[in-house]
Amino acid sequence: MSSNDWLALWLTAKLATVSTLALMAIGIPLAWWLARSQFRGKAIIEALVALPIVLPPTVIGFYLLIAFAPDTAMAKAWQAAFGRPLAFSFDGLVLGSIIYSLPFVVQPLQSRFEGISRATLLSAASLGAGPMDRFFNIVLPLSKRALLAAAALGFCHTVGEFGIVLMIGGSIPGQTQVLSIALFDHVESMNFRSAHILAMLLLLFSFISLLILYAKGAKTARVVQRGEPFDE
Amino acid sequence: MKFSLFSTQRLRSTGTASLAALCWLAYLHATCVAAQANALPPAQPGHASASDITLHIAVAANFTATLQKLLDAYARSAPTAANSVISSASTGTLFHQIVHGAPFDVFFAANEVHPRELLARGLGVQGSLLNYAQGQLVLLHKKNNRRNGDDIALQFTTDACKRNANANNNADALSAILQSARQVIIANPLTAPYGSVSKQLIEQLKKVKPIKRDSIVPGNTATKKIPELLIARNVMHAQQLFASSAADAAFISLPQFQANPQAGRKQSWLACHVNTALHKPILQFAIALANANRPREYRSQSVALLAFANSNQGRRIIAQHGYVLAPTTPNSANKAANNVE
Repeated sequence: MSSNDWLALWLTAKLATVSTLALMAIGIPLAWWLARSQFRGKAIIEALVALPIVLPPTVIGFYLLIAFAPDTAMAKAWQAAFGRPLAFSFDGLVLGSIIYSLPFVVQPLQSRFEGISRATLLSAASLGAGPMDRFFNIVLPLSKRALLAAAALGFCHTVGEFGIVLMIGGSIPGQTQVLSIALFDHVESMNFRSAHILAMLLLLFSFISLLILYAKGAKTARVVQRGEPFDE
Repeated sequence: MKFSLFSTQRLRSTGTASLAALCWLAYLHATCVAAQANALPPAQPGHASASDITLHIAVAANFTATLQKLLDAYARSAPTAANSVISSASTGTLFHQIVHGAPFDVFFAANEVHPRELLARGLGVQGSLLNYAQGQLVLLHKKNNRRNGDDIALQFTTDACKRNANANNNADALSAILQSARQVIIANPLTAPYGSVSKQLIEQLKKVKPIKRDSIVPGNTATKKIPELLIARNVMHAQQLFASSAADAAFISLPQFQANPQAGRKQSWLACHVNTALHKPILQFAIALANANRPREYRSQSVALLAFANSNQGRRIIAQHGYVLAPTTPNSANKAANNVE
């Protein structure tokens, strides 16, 4: 592997780690709200969250490209806040990944949260537990496997990202050239040897991740597959 | 039962997970710094500022391999040379990335329009525009290239396909190859200058030498259509498609063919040079970019790199790789150097 490939490997791991942390921070409260809310327009939010599953990545990539252009309000605000441009940068990729992988984090969590019986929470409340207390000490511990599944799916899905990165990232080594893009560039320039190495790496990583996830228990797998609720 | 917010027991697992994630991130960062240190040439003592600078170079696909050689030579000859990383794509793609704020410092394009447009938009360093090369097209085709059993293409792959062949004979040879091909791969004419020139050339050949199969192979009632065009993303992609697909011809740049003449493994490839008189010249321009997010040292380094490309040594390297040298342009480095602010 060339030094550029190592850089791409590191960048991919960094992107997936940062995105997964951000996804969990956004996904957990969002999933909880979706699971408990009686809000009428909830279906709209659910549909929006699920959009990246069915939307071609190029659609998301195109809109992000427009939004990230230096003269837009969003890019200006980002530049003012962090002193870095958003377009064709690592920051931009993180934002893209969060949107792209959101349903893979929110959906397993939401279905798990919906499966926690109201009675459990009510009895906790009757013993004097406040809402935050109930959430951190009952809901989250009961959802350990779903949390693991959500984080793993978010991570793997970000590693497997291609279309959006191609559109909003370009192919800048060390900044936006992740493994899938480096592989694409190798194929285009007929470095089939390097392409084989990267492809095999990605294949093994994805397989082993899923293997661990499924081997962890049929219950986790069920969450991943059908979003079925379960009790631990 | 006692409930307390953030009770240590409940949070232990979450805390461990976060800690593990943070350690992972720290580890990644450490390995990256190591990887980057390995990837880049050792810093020159006394030139700490230059070694801190990494120029991001956007390069049109055809020039990628040559640029790598140019940068190697530059790093060897100039101790003050900045480090560099390369991103390669079609000229149009890179142009749009730059316009949308991509953090590039130098742009080696395959045409003149896009670098000039960047200058006009205030995204280039005034006076840094450099005509670094003139590109040449090559029509690749495969030895077992036969349609309906005829063997026309092979007859023309001799003198008429040489680099300095007579333009008329060359046009005949190209027409014959195109006729016997089922599919011809060209780079995307909308984004790649080589692609648009290839397309114009095909149109031109159709006009001057109408492609009629009947006149070449009497009695053959096969279709009179010219070969189907397959559109690749850029010339590098065109070559890759040619190597791995059933398409029997492709227009690529001469340097690519010289660097990789037999990449097709099983069948051997034949190349027919395209006489530059048959099409609009492919004048390739480079420009230093005025990236507002960078300190001015980046602009100085970019201008210095272009000056090297325009030096005798740089020009020799470019010519060696199959480019026609652009007429000598006065070295505008001094002029550009004044505009790096």
